[in-house]
Amino acid sequence: MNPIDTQGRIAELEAITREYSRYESSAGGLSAVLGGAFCLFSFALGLVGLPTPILLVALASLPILWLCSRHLLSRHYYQRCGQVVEHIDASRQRTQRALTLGVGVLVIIIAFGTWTDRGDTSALYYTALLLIPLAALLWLRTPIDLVIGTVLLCQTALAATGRSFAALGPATLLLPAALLMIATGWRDHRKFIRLQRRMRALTSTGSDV
Amino acid sequence: MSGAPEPGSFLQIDRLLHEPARLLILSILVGAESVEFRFVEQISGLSKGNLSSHMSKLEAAGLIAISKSFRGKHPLTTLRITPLGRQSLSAYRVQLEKLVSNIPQTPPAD
Repeated sequence: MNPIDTQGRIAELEAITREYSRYESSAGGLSAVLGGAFCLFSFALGLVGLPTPILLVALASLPILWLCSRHLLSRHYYQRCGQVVEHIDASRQRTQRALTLGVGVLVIIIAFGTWTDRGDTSALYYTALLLIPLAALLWLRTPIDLVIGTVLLCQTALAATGRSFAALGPATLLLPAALLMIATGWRDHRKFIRLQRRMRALTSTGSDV
Repeated sequence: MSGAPEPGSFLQIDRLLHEPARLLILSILVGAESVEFRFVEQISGLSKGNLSSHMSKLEAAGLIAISKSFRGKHPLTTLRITPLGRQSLSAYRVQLEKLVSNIPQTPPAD
């Protein structure tokens, strides 16, 4: 066994596994592209005014559709060679906890702020709002996922009151955020295609370390 | 011979890890929290039997943990490197680097 070759092989195998494991949670790829497209859809609806009941149902179901597509893409496309769970170090765990806590506090402020002055609030409105920190804790482990999930769940809460995001005001930020999500997702997807090539190259060289 | 590795440094090499297949398995596992058997099998190019035999040795040494369950009707084997496994691999890397750096450069053949 050549020790120099072995060193290189160890590093390559570790790097490939680490990169592949990112597609279990932190790298969205096509699901981030889809999430960005859903956010654009929300923004576009704000431009046309009051949505129809069918569109409201579609808007309310966007987070579930997105989370399901994310899970299916990860399991059956990105990790079709077998599931590899990403190793998250202590500093990333702290960041995740801080983000989840931040979102939780924000949601509580919004929920309390709208408790008294909104006559048309419904149980679904509060359920969607309170689902945000829960979703952040369970599935939305990266800042980009958190943005997509929060935007889509806020949209569900608004749809429960018969409205969509207004085209003007803070919702205008949705446009650059959605475009950024699409660009990031596409970049991750291209990285995955390169990773597949590296994996094929590695397996074709055999297992003689 | 000046610069040549000490005979003792060869003996210090962890024999359990200094086996290509086992080193390959640990190198895969160290990059993730847990890894499905199918992935290790595909990326390592080892046969199922060979892989299982080396996995058992690594598990017996406490370097990896193996859990067996079912996904639907299909058996699912998941591997995970233990803290001792991470530590051993890191120590092995240091040993190997030291060994390689001590090997004298051979002059090119005429």
